[in-house]
Amino acid sequence: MADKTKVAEQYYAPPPDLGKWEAFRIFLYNSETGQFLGRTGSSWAKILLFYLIFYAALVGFFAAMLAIFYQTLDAKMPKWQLDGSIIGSNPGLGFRPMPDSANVESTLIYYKANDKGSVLKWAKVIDEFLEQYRKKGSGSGEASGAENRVPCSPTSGALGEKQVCDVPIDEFHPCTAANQYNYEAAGPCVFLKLNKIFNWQPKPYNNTEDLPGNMPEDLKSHIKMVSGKPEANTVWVSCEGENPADVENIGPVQYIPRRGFPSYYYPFTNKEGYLSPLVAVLFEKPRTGVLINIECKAWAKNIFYDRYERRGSVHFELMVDRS
Amino acid sequence: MNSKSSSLSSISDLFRPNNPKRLRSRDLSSTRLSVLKKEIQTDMHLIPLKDLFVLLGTDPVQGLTSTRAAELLEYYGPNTLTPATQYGWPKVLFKSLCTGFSILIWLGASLCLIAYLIEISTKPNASSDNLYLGCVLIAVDVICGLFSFYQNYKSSKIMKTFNNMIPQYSNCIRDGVLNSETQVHDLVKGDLVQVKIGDVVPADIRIINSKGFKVDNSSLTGESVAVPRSNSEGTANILESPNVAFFSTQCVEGWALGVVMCCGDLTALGRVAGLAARLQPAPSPLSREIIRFMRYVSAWALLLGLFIAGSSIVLGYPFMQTTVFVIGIIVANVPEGLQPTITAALTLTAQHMIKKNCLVKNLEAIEALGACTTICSDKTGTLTENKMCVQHIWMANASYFVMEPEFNSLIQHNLAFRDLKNCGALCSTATINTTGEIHGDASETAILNFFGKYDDLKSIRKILPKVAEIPFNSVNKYQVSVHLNSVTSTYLVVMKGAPECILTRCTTIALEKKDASLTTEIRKAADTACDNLANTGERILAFADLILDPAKYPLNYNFDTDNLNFPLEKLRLLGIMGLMDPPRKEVRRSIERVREAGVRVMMITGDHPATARAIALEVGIATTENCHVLTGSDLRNMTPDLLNWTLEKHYEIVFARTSPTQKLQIVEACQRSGGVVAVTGDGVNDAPALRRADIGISMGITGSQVSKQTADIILMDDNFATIVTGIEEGRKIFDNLKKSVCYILISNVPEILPVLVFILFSVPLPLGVMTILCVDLGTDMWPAVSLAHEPAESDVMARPPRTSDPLVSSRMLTLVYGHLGLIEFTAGMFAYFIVMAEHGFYPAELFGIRRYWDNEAINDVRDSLGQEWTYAERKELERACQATYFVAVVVMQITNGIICKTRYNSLFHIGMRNKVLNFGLLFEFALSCMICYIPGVNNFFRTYPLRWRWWFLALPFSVLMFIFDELRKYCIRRKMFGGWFNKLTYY
Repeated sequence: MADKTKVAEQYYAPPPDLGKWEAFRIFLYNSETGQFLGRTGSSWAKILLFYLIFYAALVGFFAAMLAIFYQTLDAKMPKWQLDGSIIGSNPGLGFRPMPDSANVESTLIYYKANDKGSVLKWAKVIDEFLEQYRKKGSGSGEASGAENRVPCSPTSGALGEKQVCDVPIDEFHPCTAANQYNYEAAGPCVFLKLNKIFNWQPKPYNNTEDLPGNMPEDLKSHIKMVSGKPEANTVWVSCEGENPADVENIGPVQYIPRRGFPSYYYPFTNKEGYLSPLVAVLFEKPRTGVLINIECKAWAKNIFYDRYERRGSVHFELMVDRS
Repeated sequence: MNSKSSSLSSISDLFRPNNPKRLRSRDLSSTRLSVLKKEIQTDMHLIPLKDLFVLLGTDPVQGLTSTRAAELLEYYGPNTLTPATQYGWPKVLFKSLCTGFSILIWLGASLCLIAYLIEISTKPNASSDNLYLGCVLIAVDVICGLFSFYQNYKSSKIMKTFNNMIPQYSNCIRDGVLNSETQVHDLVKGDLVQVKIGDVVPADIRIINSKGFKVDNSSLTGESVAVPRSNSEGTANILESPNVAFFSTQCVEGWALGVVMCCGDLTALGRVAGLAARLQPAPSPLSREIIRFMRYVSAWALLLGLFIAGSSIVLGYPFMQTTVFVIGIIVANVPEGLQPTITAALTLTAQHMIKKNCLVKNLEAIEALGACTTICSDKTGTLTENKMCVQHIWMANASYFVMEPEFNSLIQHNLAFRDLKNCGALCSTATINTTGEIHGDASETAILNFFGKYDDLKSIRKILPKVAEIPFNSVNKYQVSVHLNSVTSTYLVVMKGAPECILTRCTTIALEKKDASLTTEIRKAADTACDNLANTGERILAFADLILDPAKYPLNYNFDTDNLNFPLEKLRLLGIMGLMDPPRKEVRRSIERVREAGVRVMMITGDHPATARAIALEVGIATTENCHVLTGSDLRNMTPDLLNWTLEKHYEIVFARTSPTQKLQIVEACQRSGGVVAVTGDGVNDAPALRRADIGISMGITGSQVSKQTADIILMDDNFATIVTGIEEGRKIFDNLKKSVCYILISNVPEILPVLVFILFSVPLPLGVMTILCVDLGTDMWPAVSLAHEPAESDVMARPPRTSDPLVSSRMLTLVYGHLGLIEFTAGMFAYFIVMAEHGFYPAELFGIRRYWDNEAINDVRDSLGQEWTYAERKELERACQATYFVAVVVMQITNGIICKTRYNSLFHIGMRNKVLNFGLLFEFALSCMICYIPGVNNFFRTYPLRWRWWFLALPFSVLMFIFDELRKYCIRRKMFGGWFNKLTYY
């Protein structure tokens, strides 16, 4: 039997068992075959060339398809509009100044009224936002299309093909840059704007009929005042405290220059130089040192309100400290 | 001797009740298993009976005393088979819930829940998205887990089937009193038991006294031959020792008194049962590969997840954002549909096999059969019919093969045949009842069956009634009976037995027409005939007769069989007959085909080497006379290494006289050298080997209950040819599973890359986690499964079994991740960009937009055309884009289903004849429509009712992919560019 096992050794010779590290080292560089990571240099060159060509062709095809598709699009006009588009025909509201978006999902405007730096920080945010509104008239270095802006009023006639209505932000006193938007006076201004939706035309509440029941009383009385006049063709705006405590803390509210977005700014058709109309909401005397939840709503017959989806409304918090 | 008895005592200790060695239950089970794998080592059957009685502390007449018996019963436990320790169902359930990808999905789910908890604790009105996703992931996990639990959890019934073989009562002598109602499980070592005809031996007993005692050892050897057992000298191998009768064997003749040597698990049967129940079959090649693949994918997904988590935290992303990244990466990387697809594909094949009379009990066995490299076949009942038949007759100086068509005419007027027929009909202990059924031992039944074809045996027996008889015994090796011929009023002596005994007693021979004296030449011819028959493995019987002189033996002569008063010399030789258990008809052709397919066939039998060799030659397991035959005693002296070496050196091997344990050793030796082993068997003795083999195949008609219980596959019609079909199906399903896996993996690429794009380029997420699940567990499923229905692409039986050809090869991964998957990804991204652009967000605008897009606080994100979008509107657009991406993936996957139909041939060559796949592709389309358009359903899956035009966005890419793949296959067929594509992507 001993003989037999000897014979067996001749027949049965398993491959030399390389250690894991040794095998890996040979995989990295095999000096016998000149293989590097399992391939020789020329093999690597070939495979890289192949993939280069293959991926280039793929990217080329992709780009070509995109280019062909772009021919079907209009550079100025979205393909789908209003209800045909997912954007729908129910604009939301936006507010400025907004906290830095890096500052996670916050809608809090917080500052210290007697801290210069804190005030300036917010004023700068608004300045940047209003930059495009300032660039007036012709001249080099200014926003393209600024020359198209013309002053409009509820009674002015139809605009020219290229013309858009101007937004006179210098008349927003006290919410002006010079006044640092009244932040230092502990009565901050918050700018509201209605989301632009291509070709959207408001159906304003321009008389006292059909006013919805949940409309704030002061807005109702305001509409009653202007009812029938041309300036009644406005998308109205109201800002209120969300909870009873907030209502108490919010203090008096002023809407500057008027209580809404005049309908002569609409429809938005992506004309060059178009400016979104603004309403500066001046919180004259909010209680200091407490956080106030504020909800502003836009009112028109074709704006529907939904707090959860933020339709036709916007939410933010305000906190003014005076230490 | 000392060492033997000490090892014996340690074994019996190991099997005592109440866990005497204080081992953990699993350790106990494995220790028992390793002990059982060893051959039985004992000398209880060799030592003189007297010593045995002393050793066992019993009395040869009185038996044990009741108190002693009760003590022993208390100490050693009852005489039953102990079931193996099994995992309880909670453990199996837990394992099913935590295997493979489940762990990753659990991780994803818990991340979702953690994110949700953080959100509700920090935000006043937290969205329940994460909770929802977490619940869905948990549901996916639990459903998959329950599915595999259902697959895995089979309570083992093996021991129960074994226990069914054991009788309830036995005749036991205790305190000198015979009690015929002693419960078998109360028997202990040293008990005296009596066994009569028809009884089942209640334990391993050593015979003290017997008369004509014969047992059928088929439960241990697989050969249903009655073997005589008596109080004689034992042989070293206890299984062949003529003085031992084993537990569960049946007494077919005579009676015996014996002393119980061992009980329960320690008996020969107990060991077989213990092995069969405790052995765990090795995981099948397929599941080994799936486990390996899952491990790689999991490691890759975890690594990528950790890398992304780490870098996003370093880059200053908040924790919430990081969890979203990681969940996306995990869910996208895991091919959730893989396991269900493979199971479903195998189930379908199994159902297909049932139609071919092949019952697949263990799904993976069918694929393993395709990969199998060695078939170890039992002989009796598997290769042969397990029914003795007359094969050859030598008479009147000539040999005849009874199957020959001319045989009938050749013997028609042959006087020798007439006398041979009479002799065969008369000299037999077998009985024929009124309906013509024959009862007796295998050879006699075969002889009577054979002659029954030529004459009415009952009338012969009536004309020639039996007056005296000497039954067969192993000393005389012949049997004799005397019959009265009522017509001629003479007595006829007929004799049957081993040729060497009969031939010496003969002086004349019956020829065709007349009798002649038995010359030396004829005697030589008879001897050669015997040798020839013996070499073909046939059992040889010679027949002779003698008409007694009526003068010397008048009517009513009193024949005395004990003190012979009639001659048994000067007989007339009638003929010599060769009997054998013939191989099944289809076996030879099947083995030929199996061997063509590169599968090695070996025979492992409990039968004699000569018979085994003869059958091996006949069925083609051996192609030359001198094939290697190893017997059980050879094996006993072999080290495992030597056995491995022998297996390597000789391709054709026949193992004869093997014990159940040795069968197991051979199977394990084959597996050690890397083979995938199939075992076919029908007997109880095959059970351990069947269990251990990668594929255990049992016979449905002749197979024992135990073998069917342990087998993975049952051939319902006992047709060996079904194995060939099985191998073919197994290989086909493997080829097709590759296609299925390729198909599933391709959709993984357009699932992973969007998450990476989302993270790297800060675009809105192109494909949501819910839609990923929709693809993996919804739309992809049916087409993937139906790819298993593809016909074989080439002759699968013409190639050797796969050894190094994995299910998921690096070539497949190159094709999937480097080629096709990327085309699919570009299609998805194209669709996504288009929908965004149509709504005003041009691609350039999208890069880097995520910080605004996903910020719930920002209510006015500007698009490229100046429109401003609220958060809700943005998210709805995102859903629409994700749905379009999903639809693009579905369209691409439909193309892919067509592409994956073939790995080599052109689709135009193959055609679209796979109806199941065609329906599957239609179903895929319909399902994606349902997911997108049915209100509520689309909300559930976070999809969107798309414009119909968006369905066509992926079409150019699907055409591109199709053309590319056809080109690739063309290059593969032509081996163009020096076989570039073959090396790179031919999986």
